Amino acid sequence: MRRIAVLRRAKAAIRAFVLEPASARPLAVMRIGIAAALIGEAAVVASHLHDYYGPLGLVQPPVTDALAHWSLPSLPALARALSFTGLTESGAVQAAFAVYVLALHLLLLGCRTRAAAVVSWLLFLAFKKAGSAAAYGGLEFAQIALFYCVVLPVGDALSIDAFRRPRPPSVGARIGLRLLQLHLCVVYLSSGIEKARGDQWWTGEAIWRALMRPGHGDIDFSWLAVHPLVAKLACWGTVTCEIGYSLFVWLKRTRKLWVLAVIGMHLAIAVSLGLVFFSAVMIALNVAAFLVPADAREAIADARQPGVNRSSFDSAIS
Amino acid sequence: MLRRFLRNPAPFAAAAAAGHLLMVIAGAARLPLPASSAATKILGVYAAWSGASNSYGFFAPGVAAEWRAALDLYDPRAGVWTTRTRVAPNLELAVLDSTINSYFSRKEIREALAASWAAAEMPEAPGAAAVVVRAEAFLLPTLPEYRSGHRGEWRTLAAYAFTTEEREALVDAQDRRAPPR
Repeated sequence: MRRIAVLRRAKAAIRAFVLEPASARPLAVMRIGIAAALIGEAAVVASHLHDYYGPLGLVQPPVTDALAHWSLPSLPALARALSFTGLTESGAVQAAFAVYVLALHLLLLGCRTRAAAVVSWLLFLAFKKAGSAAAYGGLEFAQIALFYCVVLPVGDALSIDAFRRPRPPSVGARIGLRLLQLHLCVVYLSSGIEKARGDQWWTGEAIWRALMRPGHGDIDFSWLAVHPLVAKLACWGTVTCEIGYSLFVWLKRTRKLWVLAVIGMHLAIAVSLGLVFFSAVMIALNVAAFLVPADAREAIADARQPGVNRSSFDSAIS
Repeated sequence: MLRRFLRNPAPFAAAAAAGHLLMVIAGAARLPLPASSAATKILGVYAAWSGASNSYGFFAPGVAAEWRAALDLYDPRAGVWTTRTRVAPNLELAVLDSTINSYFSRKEIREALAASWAAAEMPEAPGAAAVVVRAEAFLLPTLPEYRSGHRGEWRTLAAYAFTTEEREALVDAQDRRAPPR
C-alpha cells in the first residue's frame, strides 16, 4: 500500500517535472541570445568570409570534407543549384551569407520564427561544413541551440509572432526547457569528469597552459609561475563548478549561486582566452535554462494585460 | 496511435526529447553507435544535423600545445627565403585559425592541411617559386620549469615543400638569366 503511494507520488512528480505547462520565456531568451551571438560572430567573420568558407579558402575541400559529416548541406551544392542565376561559387557563398544574416535577424526579433530558425540552421550547417576545420566548441553549441530553435516553441514569447498572436504557457515549452537544462547538465558533468581525469587539472598546469598560449589575448599571465597556488585553485574551481553543476542547479538555494559562478567562469574565459563568442553562447544558454522564470503563474500575471487571450492561459494550466 | 498522438502529443514529445537526451549522453560519454545498419546511419545523420552526438571535453583531459603554420617562401629573383606566419586580425578569427592549426597534431591530415596553407599563400606571393609549410608547436615549460628560467618556444615538428610547374619555371628563368660562372 505504502509502496503504491510512493510510486504514485513519484509518477506525479515526474509528470509535473516534464509535463506541467510552462512559459516559453526561457526558450525565447535562448533564441534571442543565440541569434545575437551569431549575428556578432557573422559581423566579425564577414570581411574574411572567403578565407574560411570560400571555395579557395584557407582550408581546401579535401580536408574540410574529411572532417564533416557527408549528409550535411553543402555550399558547393547550393552554388550548383543557383548556377542558373549566373552566380559564381563565391557569389553564391556571399548570397547565402546575406540570407543567413537576414534569417538570424528575423530569429532575433521572433518574426516568422520557425521559418527563420529553419533557414538559419540549414545555412549555419552549410557554412559549418565548408569551414569544418575551423569549427570549435562555440560553433558546436550554436548548432545545438539553433536545432532547439527549430524544434522548440522559442517564438511563443518575447517575439513579434507572440505579440501578434499571444500563446499560452505550454507543455512543449516545459519539455523544451527540461531538455535544455538536462543537456547543459550533461555538458558540464562530462566536461568536468574528463578534466578531473587529467593530471593537468590537479597540478594547475591546465590553466597555466591555457592562459600562456600565444595569440589568445594580450594579458600576461607569466606571474602564475611565481604563484602556482592561484593556477591550482583556478583549476580546482573550474572542475568543481562543472561537476557540481548537475547537482547544485537543481537545489533552489544554490541554483542562482552556481549558475552565476559558471557565468563568471565563462566571462573569465572570454577575457583571458579570447573565446568571446563561445562564452556568449554559453552564458545565453545558462541564463535561459536556469535564470529566467518559467512558472506558468508568473507568465499569466505578466500576460494579464489588454489584448491577451486570458481564457486560453487559464485552460492551459487547469 | 495516430489518433492518440493527435489528441495528446505531449507524451510523444516527451519520449522524443528523452530519446534525444539519450543520444546526447551517449555522445558525451563517447559511446560509439552500434555496428553499421540502416538505423545506425539514420541516427548518425540525426546526430550530425542536431549536434546530439557531440562530446564536451574542452581542454580535457589536458590542454594541448598550440600549433601554427610558418610559411617559408623562396624568391628566385632575389635568391632569398622569407618567413611568414599568419596574424589574425581579431580574437575570434585567431580562435578559428588556432582551431584549424590544431589539426596539425593529427598526422594523417597534416600534409593535406599544409597543402591548404600553401595554396592559400601562393596567390599572395606571385614571385615565390616554392613554399615550405612548417607545422610548428609551441612548447611551453611547466610551472616549475618556467620558474627556473625556461621559456616557451615554437618548434618545427614537420615541414612540407610545395611548388607548381609555373612556379618552378620561375627558377628556370632565373637560372637562364644568371651570368655563367
